[in-house]
Amino acid sequence: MYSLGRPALKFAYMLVQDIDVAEEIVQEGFARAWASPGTPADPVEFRRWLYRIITNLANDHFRHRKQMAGVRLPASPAPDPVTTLEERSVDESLAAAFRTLSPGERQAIYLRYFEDQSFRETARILGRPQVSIRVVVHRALGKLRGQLKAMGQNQRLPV
Amino acid sequence: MQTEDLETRLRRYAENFDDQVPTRPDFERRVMSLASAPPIPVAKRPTVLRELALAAVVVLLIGALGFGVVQLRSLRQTTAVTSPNPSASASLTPTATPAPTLGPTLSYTPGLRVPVGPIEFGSAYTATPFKMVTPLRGWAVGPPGKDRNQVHDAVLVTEDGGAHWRNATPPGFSGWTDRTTYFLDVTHAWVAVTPHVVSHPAATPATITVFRTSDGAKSWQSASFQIADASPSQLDFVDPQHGWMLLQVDNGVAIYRTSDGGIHWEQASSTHYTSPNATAPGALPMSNDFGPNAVNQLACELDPFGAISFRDSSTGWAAGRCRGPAPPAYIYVTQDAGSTWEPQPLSSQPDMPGCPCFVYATHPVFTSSRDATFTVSSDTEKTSCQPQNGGTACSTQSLPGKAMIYATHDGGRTWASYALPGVAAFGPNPTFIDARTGWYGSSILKAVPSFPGETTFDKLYVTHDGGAAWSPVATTTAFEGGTFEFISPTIGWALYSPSLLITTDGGRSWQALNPVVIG
Repeated sequence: MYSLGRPALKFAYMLVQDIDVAEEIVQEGFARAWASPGTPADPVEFRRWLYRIITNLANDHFRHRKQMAGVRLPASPAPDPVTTLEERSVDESLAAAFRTLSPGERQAIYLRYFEDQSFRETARILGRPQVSIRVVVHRALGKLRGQLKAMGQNQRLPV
Repeated sequence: MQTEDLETRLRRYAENFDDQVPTRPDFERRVMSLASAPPIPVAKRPTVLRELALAAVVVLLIGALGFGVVQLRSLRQTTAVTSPNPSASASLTPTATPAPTLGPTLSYTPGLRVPVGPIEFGSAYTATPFKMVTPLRGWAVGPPGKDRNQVHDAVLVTEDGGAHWRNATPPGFSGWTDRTTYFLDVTHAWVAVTPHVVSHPAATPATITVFRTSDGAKSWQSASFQIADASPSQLDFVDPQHGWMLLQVDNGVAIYRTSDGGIHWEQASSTHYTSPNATAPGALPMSNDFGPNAVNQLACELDPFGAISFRDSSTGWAAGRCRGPAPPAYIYVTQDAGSTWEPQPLSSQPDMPGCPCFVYATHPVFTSSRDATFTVSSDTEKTSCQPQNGGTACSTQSLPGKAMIYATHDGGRTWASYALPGVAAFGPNPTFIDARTGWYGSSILKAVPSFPGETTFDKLYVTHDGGAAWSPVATTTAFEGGTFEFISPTIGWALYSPSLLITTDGGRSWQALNPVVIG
């Protein structure tokens, strides 16, 4: 559990970009996984199961935010990883380009490049066909490339 | 830039990502506490023998209620789905006619087990459907499941105004599925789900299962179809036969329709993310560029989580958001059941000072074939950019703008716009019971905001002229607003998670319902 908490939090944080919401989602995800009779016991399967629940919760979060929420999410540059990145002089243009990705594209990019998962594993976690994940990642890379080009940031920045 | 370069850059960015995620010292301990608490009893799926035993109990209970042997035989021969729940079984009529639509017969074990006792509606993440149809009868989805001993998102029905609820979750429904619901009246409802897939075989299409009931969830029938990589996000029906489903698909959304109550579905249209101004004729715009460096170009996007509503079997609307220097309201109309879409002519576009801004539109809600309303709200964006490390770092703040209501009284041909009180706050939206009478919970900027532009509920307003003039309701009960559901000039409900309140005097006074699940 200790080994999964932080990775799950990072995954949720990448999706919703709000640490409080991400924390709630991860706790809720663990609670659901624990309460469900169908939760796999195998650690690898459990991780897939947990990430899938977090993905669904993040989708519900966006749905709720769009449809009914009376709460306005903090505007950047509040606790936004993008802004945090800017403050820390990391790859701010890449961080800004991430904003243009859809939630599904962020999920795929995160699992593929941040957790170094294979296409097959990414597809299994997200519950989508492998071929679709390849398409999503390819398209997301194209969007990132286009954004970076528009920002005049084609060249790699010092990290 | 080469793909390899971008991938390398992504991985280097990922190496530093851990530093960007704030560390909460108690987080791991809190997560661990979830696992260290004693597990709840596992609700195993009933075996065939158990189902048979439950079915026998149902038969005996019905017999004890005085039904004859002939009627019992008739009931056992019907194709309706029966519930093992005693209270639900008691409400079955022995002469229940077979379901009017085709579909497999199901053994009705609710898809989720809901403990008997108090229940809360709402969720921090899930938009909770709550619909009252008469003063006594209605539907809801809950409980929120904040506690791990609770289940999540069961389908519930009430027959006493919201005090007591019966678990009517269709079999196969799971709290952790992608799902959406639609409640048409007291008897007709639909639930669309995509199974929760942990180990998804490669290139396997998603199976969309649509449950439907025509007897108030005493029985459910189901139909399934497969579509490549999709999950349902909205259902809409205009009568028991004609309905539409909005699905999130790979790189966009698709709209499916049925004309036989949900048994068969066909694709009406689909739209995919494209560059701004690259939308094909007759398609719905779905721009892929809402980046911070593109605030001065027009970009429009269909709301993928709840955008469509239909007036009848052919005419409907789709809503979404636009951003740009002077964005229009994203409202499109179809006259051919969702196959093609055109911009809805409006007598006036929203006048939003301080743009660039986001303009959000909701889909129209009809109270009759002629009368409907939708809302338009705005956020003003303030983006500041500065050079940094050879690049440009931008940050954007959104501040709430105005909220307006558009109303039609000729079936959607013309729409008049009126200002709503307060500031825009993403809803809840006004709720109307007819062409003239409606309620709206306004918002104001918070006096001590935790972030710029934070809003909070202010007052409950009522209109008696279709939205042109709004006057505050002199509430005698302190309450915090919420989602309003009115069914008459006097009777309404307010759902403000976790509270469910009811009024019988048009909103002046409110009483807590403290709803419970009875089985």
